[in-house]
Amino acid sequence: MFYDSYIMFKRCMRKTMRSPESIILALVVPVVMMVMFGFVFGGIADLGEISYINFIVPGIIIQCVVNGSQSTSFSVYNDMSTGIIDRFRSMAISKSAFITGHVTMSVIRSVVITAATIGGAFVIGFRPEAGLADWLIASGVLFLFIIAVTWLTVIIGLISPDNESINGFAFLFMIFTFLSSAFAPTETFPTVLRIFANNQPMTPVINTLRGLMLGFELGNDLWIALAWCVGLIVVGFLLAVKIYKSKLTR
Amino acid sequence: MENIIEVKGLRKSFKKLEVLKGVDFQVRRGKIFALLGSNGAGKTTCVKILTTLTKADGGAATICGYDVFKQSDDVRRSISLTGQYAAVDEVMTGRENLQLIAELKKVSNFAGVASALLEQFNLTDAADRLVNTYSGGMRRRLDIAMSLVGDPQVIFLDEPTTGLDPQNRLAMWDLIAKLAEGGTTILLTTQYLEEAEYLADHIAILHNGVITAEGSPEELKKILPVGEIQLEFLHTEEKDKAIALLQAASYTLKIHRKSIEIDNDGSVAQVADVLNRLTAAQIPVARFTQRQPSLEDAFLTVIGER
Repeated sequence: MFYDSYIMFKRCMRKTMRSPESIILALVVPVVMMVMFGFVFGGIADLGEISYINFIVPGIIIQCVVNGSQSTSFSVYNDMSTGIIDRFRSMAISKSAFITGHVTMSVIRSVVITAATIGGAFVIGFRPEAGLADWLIASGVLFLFIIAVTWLTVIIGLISPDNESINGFAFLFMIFTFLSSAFAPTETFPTVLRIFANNQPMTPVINTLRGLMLGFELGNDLWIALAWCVGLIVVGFLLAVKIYKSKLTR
Repeated sequence: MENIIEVKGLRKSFKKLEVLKGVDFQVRRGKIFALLGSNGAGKTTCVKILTTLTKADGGAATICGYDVFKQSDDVRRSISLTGQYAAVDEVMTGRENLQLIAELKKVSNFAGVASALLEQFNLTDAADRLVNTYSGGMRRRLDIAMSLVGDPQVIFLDEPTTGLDPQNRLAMWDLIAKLAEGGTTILLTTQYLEEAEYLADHIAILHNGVITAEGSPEELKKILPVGEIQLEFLHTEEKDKAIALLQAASYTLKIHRKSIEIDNDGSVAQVADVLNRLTAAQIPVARFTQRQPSLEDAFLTVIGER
């Protein structure tokens, strides 16, 4: 099984390297967002002692994970909608290798893109006050978040009937990033939006990263973020496997 | 000679639609077997069940002695599938596509296997180009080459010539015939009677969920409808004269507005006789056509006989 998954991962890797545009694009978007938001709204945003750049970087990182993972939906969808999946299925190889190959590739991609985005943030003026322990915890939370998002994008790739639907889901993800604490404190939102923003998974993850990097009190956010991530990973994994199997036994 | 595939009473429904209502057939080792049927007859469903992609609702099937439903991994090791849609990776080269399958099948010396197949399928020059630069025919060839990796005992070809132009279709026929010479058993599906006749050692006609007729092409020819010759005339008087003349010679005619049709089993002597009689009587024929029976004709005849 490990051998089959490894070969499948190699295949995804090769295909990703063939279209570096998707990685470059996934990098350009968060950098542009940082510059745009940081410099355009930075002047009017009054957050007391924190600079606006410092404030939005955690949100930008989350947005970059979400954006960067979309390509996983497309590659899963493309494999499922062509004859390729039938060829794999008619071979004596592990059934799950196909999915694990995509997931591994997606996680590695997201880690690389995220690291590069954080690097870009430093160039633009991000100055965190985090110590080594803070960075380690933040990386752990981020890693879990990346895995959770990956399973969601795999599910989207499995259930989407066409490319347009995947774009629709991508838009939905974008709404979630904006209706969170990414670009403004949720206290400034109207009531309905605030209730939504405070109770969706991205807000606690962003608050945790922000707290760790800028040295705020974390409160319950770390635990809520971990619960969301682990919950999404478990549910996402089980759901993806179930959908994949049901597609196979049609 | 032993049977390498045995199918008994295969049934499959999609929701309320009964696609296969008890399909039986056997395929002998080393032969080309054609499953002939029109669009939606259930050919692909049959192939998908035998290649372990779809579960049957009932019946039994064995390939190389393995139960398709219970020993699916053993079956998968013995077969390969070339589906209706080319299962090739667009952004990989032909060589990489072949090597991927060779690695998954744990073939030792996968690079050598890939090179040999590229050579065999006349793809060596294009081996290191991305598949999205390939023509339709090249893609099909690569697709079939990928199916040959690891020397499977049985190859399933689902409508291998659908979507190919006439030239590539002929090339594909040659290729399939050569594969069979090498001793591989081939089960192919097709909608074309002529393709089945040309390629197959044994033909089974799938219609309305059951095999309505089967046999060698020679055996089927005896029960399938004959073709026709069609004679067109410029003027009604000429047509009437021709009708009288040919009916006097005890030919059975189908009479249309401007033309007449005579059943013809492909016999040249009969064509010559008809034309000789018309020429001798100085009846000018505006157009002469010979028609092969269509698959629809074949189905109608087969069903009529049951």
